[in-house]
Amino acid sequence: MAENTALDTIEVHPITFPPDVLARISPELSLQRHLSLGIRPCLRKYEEFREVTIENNTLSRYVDTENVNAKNNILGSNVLKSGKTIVITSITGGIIEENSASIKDLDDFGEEELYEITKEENVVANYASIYPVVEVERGRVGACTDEEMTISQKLYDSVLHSRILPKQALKVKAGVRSVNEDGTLSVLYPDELENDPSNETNLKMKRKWSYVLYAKIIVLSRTGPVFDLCWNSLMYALQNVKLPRAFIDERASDLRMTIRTRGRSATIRETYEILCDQTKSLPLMINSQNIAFASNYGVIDLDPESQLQDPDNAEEEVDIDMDEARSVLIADLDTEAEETSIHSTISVIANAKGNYTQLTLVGAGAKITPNMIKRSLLLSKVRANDLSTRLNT
Amino acid sequence: MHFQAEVGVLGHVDGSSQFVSQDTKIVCSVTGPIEPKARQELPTQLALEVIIRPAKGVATTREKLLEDKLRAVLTPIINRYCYPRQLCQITCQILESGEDESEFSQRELSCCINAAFLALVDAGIAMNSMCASIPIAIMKDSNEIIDNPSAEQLKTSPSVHTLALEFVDGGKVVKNVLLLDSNGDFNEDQLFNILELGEQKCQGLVKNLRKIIQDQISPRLVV
Repeated sequence: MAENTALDTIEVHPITFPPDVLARISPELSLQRHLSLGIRPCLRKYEEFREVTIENNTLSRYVDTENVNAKNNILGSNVLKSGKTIVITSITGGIIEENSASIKDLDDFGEEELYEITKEENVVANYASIYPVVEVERGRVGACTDEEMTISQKLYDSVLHSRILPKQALKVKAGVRSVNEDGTLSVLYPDELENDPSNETNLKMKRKWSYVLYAKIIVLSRTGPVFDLCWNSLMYALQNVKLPRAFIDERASDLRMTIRTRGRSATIRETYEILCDQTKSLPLMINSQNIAFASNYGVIDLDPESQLQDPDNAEEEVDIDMDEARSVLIADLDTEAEETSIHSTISVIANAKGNYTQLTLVGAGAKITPNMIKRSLLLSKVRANDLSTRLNT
Repeated sequence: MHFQAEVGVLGHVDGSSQFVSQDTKIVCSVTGPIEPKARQELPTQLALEVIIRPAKGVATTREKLLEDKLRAVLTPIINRYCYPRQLCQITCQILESGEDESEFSQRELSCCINAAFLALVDAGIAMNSMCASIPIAIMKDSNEIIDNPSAEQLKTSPSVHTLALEFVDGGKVVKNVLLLDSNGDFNEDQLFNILELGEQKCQGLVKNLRKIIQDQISPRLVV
């Protein structure tokens, strides 16, 4: 009312929320309150990582080496659990025909010479990548999200530039299936006939094939950034990939080619039906010294105004805290509060020797100092060491 | 980094630029602030729509990743609280990539960042700071750090990098590292050498970018 001038009696009530409600309506404040206590909303310390448990090769067709399940098309797999998040990677493959210009013909070299050559020409063009599809399950269907696309592409780029998969390792050493005198079928592979040089030369084929690898990565219960989890899972899975042996039928091999290609009927194309062996397989020869593991970090300024104060010596604390805004390094980002409030991030892929194959540093928030970078590089090295020991367990 | 750049090259958008460095050529347009679609609208700040179109073919996940990185660089340098509930569209058309697109994107990303920065200034969008970006390659035997490497140099180098720095105070002070995207095989020493050399080169670049903006604006000023 207009005549009511006794406004000095207005009372201001502070509103209080339970911690979980505050975390929903003001994640930034909730995060700062937690950080001021020296912990994070997930109750980890600043530089504490989540525990990772892995299961290797449980989904693959080669789980049981004696009894290969031919209906299963997974060549290598990994299930990785980190906190609440589960990442399931399954690697499948296909075979493509090389057009002869795309890859250097290195067939005449022996294994050791080959290694020397690839070492000399350690250029990206000699390496292949894997085609990943990342699916982050959110309980709804629809087109893939930007996050899924960028993670997939980043995985592809990182595998390529890490030089893990030499193109040479993906070449198909095709065998020939022939009908024996008694009507049974048998498959001969060139590298299985080393004692018999005459056979080997007969089996040389003009056409060449390569394997291509696809990775399907499913992320369940996403609670934070997942690139590093996907990468680590992919690394574990790649190391247990086995490629099925492939062969062509005898009638399609070059032994009979001359008859068909004579004269002007060169337009007649030979159809090569390449088939995969039901049981036999070869391990994928990756560059294991380049295997590296990913970790991620965030940098955030501690806000002096959001600090929880000790009621006993509240005044002293305020004096100290107001002077400098301190920034801290947070390892292994998780929870929505950290993801939405921390804008400066560092993502590192490191191997145990202390070399790095990928680093993405985004400084959209707090200033990233050289010390922060050094610290994160050191931590990622330790983390990579730890993760690489789990391969054989 | 040697380059040619021009601003205000397009007539029907609020701001535009063309950035050419070696064989890489980018045209960038900025439209905004305009009214956003309902799903893009942010209650307190400017929404950004970043689009990169490749030199050939249609955009794929490769361009999506480039868009993601470009957005990460532009978001902190734009004063987004000036334009609540508005939208700014930033479109980069790559005319020539100047590198092998199946393996590299460093040159394209750097040039897109620089082009987008010039176009944003041309559009008169309020900015917090300036940015400059360079591609970097480390050569194999000499360990030499090369800024603005050619397509051939990228191919033979063990590690390739894109660096974008944020500048304030007339381009004299580095405020933060906006983006460092490194791929390949490198160690900690090389990384800090890159940051050190990159700072010098970016400083030179931001000076030239300022010069271009100055040349564009000064004739229009009424003294």
